[in-house]
Amino acid sequence: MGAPEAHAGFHAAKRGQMRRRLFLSLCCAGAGAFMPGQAQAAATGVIRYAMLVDVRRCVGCQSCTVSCGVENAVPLGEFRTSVGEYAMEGEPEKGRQPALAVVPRLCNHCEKPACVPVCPVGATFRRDDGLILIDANVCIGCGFCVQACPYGARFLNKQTHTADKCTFCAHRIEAGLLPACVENCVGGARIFGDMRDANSPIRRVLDGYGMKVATLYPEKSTQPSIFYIGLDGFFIHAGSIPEPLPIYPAGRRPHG
Amino acid sequence: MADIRDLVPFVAAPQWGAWEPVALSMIVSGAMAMVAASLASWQAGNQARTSLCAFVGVCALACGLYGVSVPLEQPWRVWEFYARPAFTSWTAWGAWLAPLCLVCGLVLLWRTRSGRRASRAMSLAGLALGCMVLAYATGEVRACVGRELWASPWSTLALLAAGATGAAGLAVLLGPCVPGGDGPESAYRRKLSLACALMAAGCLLPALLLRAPEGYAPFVGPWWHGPEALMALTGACALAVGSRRPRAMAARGAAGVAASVLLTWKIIHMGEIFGRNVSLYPARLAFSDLVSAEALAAFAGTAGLMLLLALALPRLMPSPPTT
Repeated sequence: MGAPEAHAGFHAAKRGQMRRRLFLSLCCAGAGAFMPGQAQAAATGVIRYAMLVDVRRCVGCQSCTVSCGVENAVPLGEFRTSVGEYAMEGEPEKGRQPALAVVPRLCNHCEKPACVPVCPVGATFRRDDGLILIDANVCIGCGFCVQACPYGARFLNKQTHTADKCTFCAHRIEAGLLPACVENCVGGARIFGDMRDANSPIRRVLDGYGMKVATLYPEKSTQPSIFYIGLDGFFIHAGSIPEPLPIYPAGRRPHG
Repeated sequence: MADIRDLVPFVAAPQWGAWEPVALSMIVSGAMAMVAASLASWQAGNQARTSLCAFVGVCALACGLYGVSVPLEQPWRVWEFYARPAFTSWTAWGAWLAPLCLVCGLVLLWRTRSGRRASRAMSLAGLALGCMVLAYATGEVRACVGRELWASPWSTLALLAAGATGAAGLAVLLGPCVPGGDGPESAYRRKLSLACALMAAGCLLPALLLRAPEGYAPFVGPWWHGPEALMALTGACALAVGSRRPRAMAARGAAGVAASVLLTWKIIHMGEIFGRNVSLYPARLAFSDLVSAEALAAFAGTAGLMLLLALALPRLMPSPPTT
């Protein structure tokens, strides 16, 4: 499925979903007058947002990185999403040619996030739709969530003085739009949607690929909501550290 | 394995600086001192030792609480700790336990300074709070699964060793300032200073056991053992200066505090490089941060507050009864 089709599918699914949600909400509200506990249970957990990254379609153009930075006013030098680019040496004995690999990274919006329980003031929380968000009015900027995240997806925003990370563009989702990185992906490598909606593009692709999708760092038991297709096995585990490049373009020296 | 090179250095440098390891070192030292003060009080032992340990506990915990507040991005929102605590976090517990432990230390100090024995309930409360502060300090580090080294069981043992050594070092250093203490040349202080020098050298063991996690080892290099080298040097110097003069004893105390800070530095600041940033921010840079402007400010700020408390507290406490 192409990117425009995926986007159209998303919007159609979203509209249908909104009608279903309204109907369900009205039903639940009526029943809730008699059974408040059950009504609450029925109203939560309807949507589960997730993203699928088809690495085979990523060209490493960083258009997601730039569009995210512009959409969310991310400070210069910090990134809510980025695309790691790697040069992989060939292994002739295994029939493997030298290659370039790309790994788009962002907050994994985990089912069992490490960042949420360590927040001492509850500023980082998990919404019913699976989004891990930060209440910037409460965050004290202690940085424990930054340290707890195994994916290095968080940073301390020196402009807002709070922890910062990808929100799946929650403001755009609420307006019925796709996250900025998905909208701007030139190769259509990022597919976003509701995992629990059988007609959503992400669900259809995930169903099609079965168990062939990968998540990052499964050994951390965080149950991420970012799935990858075509990811090299080297990048799956946290302890796989690539060598730094011995030379750098001017102005892009490593730390120190 | 084939060589894989990172073409785009996107990974950020460690976000925590020098304040956090120094503050953590003070908190574990203060908690250890409070445990010792409570045990001394419980056993109906020497009032002077209870007073000394409680004094060290109060000073160290105050410096630790100060140290964790300074690097907050939103220090004016500290009240959020109490307005909306999330008790799934060890830090939320610590925001309550550490000040309570400090107050308990002040009460113990006040009573011993007044010449009265602390009640068993007070000793028990001090002991429980000291242990709980140790649990909080080690637990909040262990909870950060994004840092391989922090989450390892060795980090807990190393932090406890750092706490014991730091508490002994501070007891030797602050001993002469303690109201109702044994005095600067007491036999107890001499023994404590020897124990302190040995513990400083002994901190080498947990530091050596803290190995770079699997996968990261090729990137750390010999700088990974920089803190141990400094610990060995300070420990050897402290043993060599002897313990005859008060200044030599103070040097041993300083070696103990330095070993505690260095061990915490290794766990926290050097352990912070074990995310995806280890290849771009190697152990050499993490170690050399010891002499960065921020680190020097953290050391000077903590030492300054410690000195202020050591001078001011005896004046604020009641005068000891003369016999």
